[in-house]
Amino acid sequence: MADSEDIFGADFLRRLQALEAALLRLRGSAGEGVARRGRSQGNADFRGNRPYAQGDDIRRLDWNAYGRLGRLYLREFERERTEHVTLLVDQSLSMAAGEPPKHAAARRLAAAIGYLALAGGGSAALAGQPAIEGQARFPRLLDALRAASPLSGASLGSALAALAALRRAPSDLFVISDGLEPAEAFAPLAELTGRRTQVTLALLLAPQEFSPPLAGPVLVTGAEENETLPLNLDADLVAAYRQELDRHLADLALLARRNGWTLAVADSAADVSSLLLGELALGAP
Amino acid sequence: MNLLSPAALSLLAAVPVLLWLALRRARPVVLAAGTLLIWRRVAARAPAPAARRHRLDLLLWLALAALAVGALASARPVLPGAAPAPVVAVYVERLLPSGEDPQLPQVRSSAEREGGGAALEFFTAGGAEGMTALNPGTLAAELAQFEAASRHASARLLFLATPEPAAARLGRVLPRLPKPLPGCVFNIEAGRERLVVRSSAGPVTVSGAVPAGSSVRNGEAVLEFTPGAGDISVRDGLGREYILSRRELRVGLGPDWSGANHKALFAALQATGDGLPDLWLGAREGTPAVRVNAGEVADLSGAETSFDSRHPLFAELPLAGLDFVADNRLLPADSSVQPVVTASRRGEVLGALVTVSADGRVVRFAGDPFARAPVTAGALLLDNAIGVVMGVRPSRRPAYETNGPVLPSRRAALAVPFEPTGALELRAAPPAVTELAPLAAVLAALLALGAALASAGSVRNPG
Repeated sequence: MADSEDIFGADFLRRLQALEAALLRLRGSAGEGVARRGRSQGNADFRGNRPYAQGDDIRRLDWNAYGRLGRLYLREFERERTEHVTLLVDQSLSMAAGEPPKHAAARRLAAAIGYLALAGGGSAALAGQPAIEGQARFPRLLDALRAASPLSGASLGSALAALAALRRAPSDLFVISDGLEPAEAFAPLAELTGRRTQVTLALLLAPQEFSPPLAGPVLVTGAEENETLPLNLDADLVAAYRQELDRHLADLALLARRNGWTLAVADSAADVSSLLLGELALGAP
Repeated sequence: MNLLSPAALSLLAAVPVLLWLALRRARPVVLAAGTLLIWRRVAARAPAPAARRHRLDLLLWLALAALAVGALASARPVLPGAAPAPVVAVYVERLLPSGEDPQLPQVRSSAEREGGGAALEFFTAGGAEGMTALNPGTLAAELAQFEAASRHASARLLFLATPEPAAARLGRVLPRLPKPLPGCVFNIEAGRERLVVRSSAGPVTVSGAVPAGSSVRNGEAVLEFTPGAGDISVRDGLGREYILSRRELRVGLGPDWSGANHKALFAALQATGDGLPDLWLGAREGTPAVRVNAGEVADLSGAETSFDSRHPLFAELPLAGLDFVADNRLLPADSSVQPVVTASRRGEVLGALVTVSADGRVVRFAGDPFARAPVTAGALLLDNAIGVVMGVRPSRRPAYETNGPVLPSRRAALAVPFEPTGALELRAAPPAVTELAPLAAVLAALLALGAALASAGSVRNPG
């Protein structure tokens, strides 16, 4: 399990705690939880007032209380007690590619999202597994993620189809994948959207997948297909590759817009914190 | 050309090594991808470079070519050319001066027959039309020159007047003439009393002299005559004529040459007093001259004489019969003249007794040694003195001046036909070759330079 120990080390956990604090500051400023496109304002409840302190957001001043009491109070909100996130980590063999491997970054991201959900009083579950509640049970989530390594024969489409086949659709679904699947593989997500599932699609691509090297004659070996493709990686071919990749990502972005999904595309070598504070927190196409 | 030379072998051995390294370098690398989803779309747009998978790059080609050409240069390749036509060097012994030799055309024809189509190069002493000149000399000297000048030739032919054993080692020896020259005069000795003519056997006509005897031995005729008073004509069997003109010494006598001894010496000279003098004796003016009593009176009692015995004045001279101090005269000191005899007393030089002028045209005697010397000693001294001032002693002066063509050598005049000796062995001349190694080396260097440039270019543009 050296691989799992690496991806969920002590340093990673410390960074999760820092991430939580950062998100709390973000929440305090926005007056709500994690701001994501499509998420309704009604998911946060009014908790009460507290005296104004220097530096507080004046947009949250409770003017009615000021009129009644003659002193400045701030309005405070609380997220829904019942927030439940479902994490689906793509376990197809394509996630094993990349340097570092994409599946490591995917599982770190899933752990971070689960941690934040548990820290906020909600629950988290890997797709098809029981939900975990309470921050103290976060290690169980990590254990489940450690076991979610790439498998031969696994595919994102079949995982999504299995999820859609469940009687009860997840309320808040995070799909973490490289997205290198045909568009029809995402059809079950559209069906889940119809069942009021909030979908967040996080696509992680390795740096080499964004910018293949000008390596000259190469044999491109596909982990999923177990096949090789002879290609000459010159400047023209690499440019053609990037065009095809951009076109594929554009198709997915169009699909996401049509279905109201939150879509983020990130580099698997990027830090999880920056992903959560950037692409996912502030919204993506 | 030898590709088995160590340098060529080592360069050739490097070729497969370089090829192996290049193929290893050119082998496509494996690029691991998660899925071929995107790549297949790309491959559908661009044809797979299967043919280029093992493409050998420019650097490799240049390096391989440089190695191969370097190996070729190390093997010293040559471009064979056509074998040059064999050359036969022909030595022709000179018989008569150029233009008078009657047999040169026959020699050329004979050489062409013997040469069998080979290119002929002719050599002869003094040169002739179409012939390379050798320095005239003895036959041995001319053959040595011919041998040195004809080293490049495939074979040698030698046309000699008479057989010469030393020539046989050089090549095939042929007779210069098909038959002897008739009456070819090669020597004329003309004295006042006797004329001797030497020639090959044959008709020789002499006019102006009376036959005194003749002999023929081994084809050489010796004819003796008594000269007449006038000129003599000698015509040989080839029609060549030699005119012998009588030469008499004309002497002018001065006042100091009037004694009995003086007259006897003059008579011994067989000279004449007619005409413009060739020489002055006892005169105080005129050159060339032998002057006497030219000194001034001096006390020479007990004086000794000293002289350089190697001077021509004393050649074959019995000095004991001569007395240079008896007249008690010394020549005045003159730094411009060469003292020949000096007087000294107890080691002290008193002065010159005999001097020779700077131009050698005047001999001065302080006294007159001819007046009292024995006739024989006086005649020898006078013969030597005249020889000093005129360049030739009267006793050695030819009585006749010979005018006519140059006399051939004895060998030439006595040339006889003989059986050819030796064989004409035409050595096959090595074919001319063009060395290609320098050109190949330059080409290899250029290829290596190109490889270096290609390598530098690939470093600037990796991938």
